[in-house]
Amino acid sequence: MNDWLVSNSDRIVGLMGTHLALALVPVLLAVLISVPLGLALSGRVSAGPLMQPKALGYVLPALALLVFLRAVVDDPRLDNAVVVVALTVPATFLMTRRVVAGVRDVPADVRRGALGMGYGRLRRHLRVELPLAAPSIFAGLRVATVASISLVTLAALVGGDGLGTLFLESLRDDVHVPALTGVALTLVAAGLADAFVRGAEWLAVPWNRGAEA
Amino acid sequence: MDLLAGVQEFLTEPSHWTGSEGIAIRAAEHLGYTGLALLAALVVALPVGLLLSHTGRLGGLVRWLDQVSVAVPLLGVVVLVGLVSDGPWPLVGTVSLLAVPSLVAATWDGVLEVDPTVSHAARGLGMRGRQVILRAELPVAVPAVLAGVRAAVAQVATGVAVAAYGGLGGLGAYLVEGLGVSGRPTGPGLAIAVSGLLLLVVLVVGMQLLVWALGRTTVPRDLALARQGRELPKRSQALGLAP
Repeated sequence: MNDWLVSNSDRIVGLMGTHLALALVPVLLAVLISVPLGLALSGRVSAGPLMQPKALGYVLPALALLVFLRAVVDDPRLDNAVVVVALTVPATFLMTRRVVAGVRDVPADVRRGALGMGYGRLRRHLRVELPLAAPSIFAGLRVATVASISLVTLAALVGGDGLGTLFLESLRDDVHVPALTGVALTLVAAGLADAFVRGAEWLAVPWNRGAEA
Repeated sequence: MDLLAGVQEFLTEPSHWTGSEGIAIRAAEHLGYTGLALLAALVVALPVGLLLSHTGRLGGLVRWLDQVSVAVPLLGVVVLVGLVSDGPWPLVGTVSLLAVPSLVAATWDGVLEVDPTVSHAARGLGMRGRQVILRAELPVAVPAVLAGVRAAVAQVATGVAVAAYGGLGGLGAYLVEGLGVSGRPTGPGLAIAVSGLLLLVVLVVGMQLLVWALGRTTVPRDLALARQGRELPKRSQALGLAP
């Protein structure tokens, strides 16, 4: 086991880097999409299908999109873009639900108070609703980040890069060390990313320190 | 479009549907494995979730395990299980096990949603611990638990598909067949994989509709309305005494 790790250490570090990039770009895009989308949807009585995002889970949409987009966009140069797009969708679903829930939990009195102070729509969103919804939004961000890091491994199935390639290597060579390494590193990466988002929340939402979201 | 033509050709070729490696058998296998894994997960998760939420203990652990189960890379785990074990059952067990945390969390959330006065009232009526759980908290939590089961259907069915990489049968075999295990898959292979995924989605939606129909028959109408945030009909209206 050690021999394999030593002789492949450079490659594993490279795979880890690609893996994190492919996982975190979709999360970033999901934040940019889900916050405005969540604010827009929270005002509606029924947010429709977006409020039941668990219907198909997040693994099936990711897997289906990966394979489908890869089949439609058959261009090796765009392989990474396909992975990013396919993973942005589940991450956006996971996050939008939390944004909507967080904004809806803002007490009506607070909203009326903002109205009474002459806050317009935009200022109310930015200065009142988003800060109060922040714990819920960060909880969504954590789930989306962890899920994304785990889902990137599926990209290997369509010829993508990342730690998932180690799983297929295990299958081809009938040895368990690469897959074991891949699983362990994915879990470590997910744990670190989770801790990182918690740290960011601690800094960004100082009034909620110590509270369990 | 090549893909569309490929998918159509794959799905409409009669010989693909019959035989021991045909779509019919594989869909049946998939259904069987998914049903069994789901049942096993429920048998474990439901009592644990009810008991933990009733006592209010270990909530942090429930949340944490739910998150860890999200982080677990399914593909890698099924490959490993496939390498170290034989036969379908270790793989089905793995998929089942991975569904337990989210089901426990769904049950936990469902009971947490129960108005505490319901539990108090049940006690006031003279119910004891187990009766409170089974006769007051469980019925009110049923809609949330069923929502959790619907989500678990998708999770488990997808897990069974990915478990094809560990050697399990079912519709996932079309993924392995179409995508291969080395290099970039090509056009015809991708068409097979897309066909397999289409069948999988149909299967999942069908099973979810079944669970939904089950919910329609078991969840009291007032409870379903209350969960949707709609007004309960007033008693006089329900009895037809008021317009």
